[in-house]
Amino acid sequence: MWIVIGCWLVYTVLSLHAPATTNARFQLSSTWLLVLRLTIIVPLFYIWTTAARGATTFKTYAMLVKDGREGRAFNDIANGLLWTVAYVIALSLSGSMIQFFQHWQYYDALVVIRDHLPIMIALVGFFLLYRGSDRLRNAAEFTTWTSGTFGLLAGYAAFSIALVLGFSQATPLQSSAQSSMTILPRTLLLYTQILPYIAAWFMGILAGVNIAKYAKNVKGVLYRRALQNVVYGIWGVVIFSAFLQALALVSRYLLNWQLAEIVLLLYGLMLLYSIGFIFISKGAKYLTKIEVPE
Amino acid sequence: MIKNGTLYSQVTSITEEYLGPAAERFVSRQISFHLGKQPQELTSADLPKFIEWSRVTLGLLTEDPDIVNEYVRKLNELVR
Repeated sequence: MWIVIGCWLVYTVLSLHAPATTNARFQLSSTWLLVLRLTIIVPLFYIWTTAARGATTFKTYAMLVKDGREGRAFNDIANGLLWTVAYVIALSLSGSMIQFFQHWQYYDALVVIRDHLPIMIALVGFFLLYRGSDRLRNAAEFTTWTSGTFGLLAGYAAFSIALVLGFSQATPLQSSAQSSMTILPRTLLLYTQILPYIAAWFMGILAGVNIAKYAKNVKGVLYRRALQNVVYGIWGVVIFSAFLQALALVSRYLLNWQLAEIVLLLYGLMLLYSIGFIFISKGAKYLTKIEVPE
Repeated sequence: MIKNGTLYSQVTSITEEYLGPAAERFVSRQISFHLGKQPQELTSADLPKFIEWSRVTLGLLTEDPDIVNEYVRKLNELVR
């Protein structure tokens, strides 16, 4: 939690002292710029700490049951959740840091790192969520591949094809902000950004399916009740962090949106994503109570 | 490892209907904390005390008295 608060303080300092050139795209007065920065900084504190609290509460539960049959599975899921929290922090922090290096000779390299670091984190997080959910599948012996899963993945396949086509045919944005699309070839970005995101979301969907099926099939009426909140929370985190990642991707490369639209959507999604962690926290507290009721 | 058919495994099996994978840990904890024994050493003579403690502890986990009463009824069947 202290790491998250530390990151938030760094983000606050960087945002309040951001170079004026970053305002070139939107041409806001200094008062409006301050108001805008505060409307981002203050909700971010709530979002980051709520998410961190949910993930650490679940991690505490996972540590408690680490010697049990499902211990390793829950540990993977807890670590996956911590990585998704790291994703949201890295997304905001990398964006605010890079503004200070606009005139540095290696600025382009930093832009490429900024655009690729979050996907690396998202990939690790969703992989851990999937691996944990697969371990739960082995423990409770159910099958992932039912008609419902195939239906869900058919919809996802259609979305993925649309994303790849949209990305391949889009015209690069005429924006003051530098992005990897103006530095690297489009085909390379397809393999280093779009396909990794598609793979990460695919694993996220499978993780959500497996965890929901585990909660439905596992023995224990009270245990299932506690897990239900965790299931809602993990679905929330998977869906909203995937939307968040998709929005970060398309707003950087494909859509020339207005400032208000980007800010509202981005922070609306982050808020919904943090609500997922409230459910996880609630479920994890109940699961912990089962383990340590006295 | 507890052999199937022992009193401990019967108690765990009933508890599993309510607490799932947490059942074994729950039962072991009740026996060692409240009876001061190893789980394998649970005997019929310990059951009334075990059931009483389990009723209290499960009551902390749910506000549904039907679940607690049903659990206690199933455990009491082992006493007979």
